[in-house]
Amino acid sequence: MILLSLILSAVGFAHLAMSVKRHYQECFNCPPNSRQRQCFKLLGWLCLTLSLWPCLLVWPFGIGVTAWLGLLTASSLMIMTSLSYGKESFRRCWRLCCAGGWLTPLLVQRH
Amino acid sequence: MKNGFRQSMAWLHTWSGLSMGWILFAVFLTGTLSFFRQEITLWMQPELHGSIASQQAADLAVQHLQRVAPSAESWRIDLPNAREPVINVSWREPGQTQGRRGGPRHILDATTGEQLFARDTRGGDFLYRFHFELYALPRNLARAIVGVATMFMLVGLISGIVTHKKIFTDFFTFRSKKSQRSWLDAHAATAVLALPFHIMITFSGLLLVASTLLFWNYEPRGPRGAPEAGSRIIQQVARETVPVPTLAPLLAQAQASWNQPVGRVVIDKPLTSAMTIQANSLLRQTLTLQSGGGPGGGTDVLRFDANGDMLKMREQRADGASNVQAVSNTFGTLHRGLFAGPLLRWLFFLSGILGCLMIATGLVLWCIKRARNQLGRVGFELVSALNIAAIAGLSCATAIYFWANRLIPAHLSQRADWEINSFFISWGLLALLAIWQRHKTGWIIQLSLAAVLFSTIPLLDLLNSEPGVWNRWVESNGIVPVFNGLCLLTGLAFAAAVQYLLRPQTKSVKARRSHVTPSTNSQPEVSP
Repeated sequence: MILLSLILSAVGFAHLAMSVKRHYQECFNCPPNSRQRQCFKLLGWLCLTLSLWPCLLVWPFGIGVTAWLGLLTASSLMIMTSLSYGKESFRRCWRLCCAGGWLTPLLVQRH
Repeated sequence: MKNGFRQSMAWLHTWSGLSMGWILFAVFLTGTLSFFRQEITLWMQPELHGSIASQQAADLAVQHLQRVAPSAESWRIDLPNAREPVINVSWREPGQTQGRRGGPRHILDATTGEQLFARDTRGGDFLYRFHFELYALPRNLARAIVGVATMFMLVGLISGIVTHKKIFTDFFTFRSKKSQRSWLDAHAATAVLALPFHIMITFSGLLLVASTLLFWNYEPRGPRGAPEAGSRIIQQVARETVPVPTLAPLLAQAQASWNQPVGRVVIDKPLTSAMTIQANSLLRQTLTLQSGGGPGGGTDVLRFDANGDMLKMREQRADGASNVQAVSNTFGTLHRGLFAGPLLRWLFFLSGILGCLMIATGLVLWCIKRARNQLGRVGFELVSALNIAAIAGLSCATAIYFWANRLIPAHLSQRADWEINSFFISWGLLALLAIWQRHKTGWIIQLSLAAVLFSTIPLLDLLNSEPGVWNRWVESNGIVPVFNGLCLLTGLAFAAAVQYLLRPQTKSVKARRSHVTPSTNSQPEVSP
């Protein structure tokens, strides 16, 4: 459950990071279009919100929220480190596990 | 107008951070370590490392108490748990007031029930106390200093958020290898990623010391404890001896109903027919009930009578706290992490380390920004020296505190004081060294020292403990090896920082400096 929350929030942060022009460009050498960015942003916030839910199942409300915030710190740290030092692994994870990665061809074609 | 506001906020951020940064770093570092206060104390008492938690612990404790304190008013048994593998028993003799420490105290082996004699040490408690009462200062003055520092921290946090231009765009940004830019990124990232924690810990910390700051509102604290206990007339009745029921099944029952282990057992009027047995859960299930203070505040409670039958529970858990109290309790509990299981504790620890890094990078950044123009000026040189003393010096002193624990003979009188003295003496010496060598060389010397001291702690522990430690580590729940491992990692992190400083520089950047605090998770300095 806790791992699920961590993964969900990491996925969420990955989407949010990719909705930032600079990070997307650094990873894929081309700027994201605005449709992509909005889609990533939406998915990102959605995943972040969803990641609260497993925490509330495991813990009572107050402690659950505290734990959730702690997990957010951990997962955002992971994403930041991987963006700075492990771009290749980040790209791989993005293509394999993130909805934004799967949607990219779709969004780019329409553009 | 907006720009002006932001600029004044930046000014506020710079100076509120700088003026209290060194104290804040010390408070943050020792506070972060205090999340593992019990574990540190355990590491510092190798005599207790052989004890392994067992199901019969409570009954072993009762056997011991029957022998040493048959006529006590009450017994208190702190059962072994994942953080402390020994049994702590204490009792209150008739007529004795219930002080904070609650009378005599024995430590028992959790498998055999034998009494253990640990070396005299303040352990993690020293770091915990230092974190809000500093040391050797009058209690209220020290608390006031920490309180003011906390207030500055809050100001720094808020003004920092306002100053940060692009919180969302720069959320994940860390640009390495760009000197000042990298330091700024590291400072912002460590702050923003753990921002909820920073705000929570600062605000709740402020609430905890607030009573001292509002000195006009200050009520001197009398001796703690139940008021009626001291004045009660002692009645020494010839007591018939009623055996204590076997505790293991009762505790199993309690554990099943809470879904978490029993932390403490209190037996009131033991060995009499009026005996009540109260079991408290190990962790809190809620944030709003009172934190600190009375035994077992906020934990789940079950009571049993002399026959081992469950008594009706008191129904006063939900009420009893007004909204204001509930908020205050929430923050107190949050700050101390009293509800936290291992995972949450580690998350708090991680966030705390990020906080240390935030303060440290902020302090270093101040110097880097001014290195070109102000080199040689008194203020600049003073800040440089204090930075080294506060960041690298304190890290070394912490390592030396652990070293002293193993090197000072176990039976020396006042050895606990000597451990603390060695901490402060070494910190003082390192501060002097920092005044003498206050630029890059100073950082290299002190960080290398920290690297060596920390990474050799596992070796020290190994050489210092009895043979057969490996078997013991396999059986025990791993606190000692994890502690050693963390020390090694910390040492390696410092070594990486030294390597970063020693690398050949492309441009001659004078007065570029680096530092690192105990963490390997976020090493802005370490280039891949």
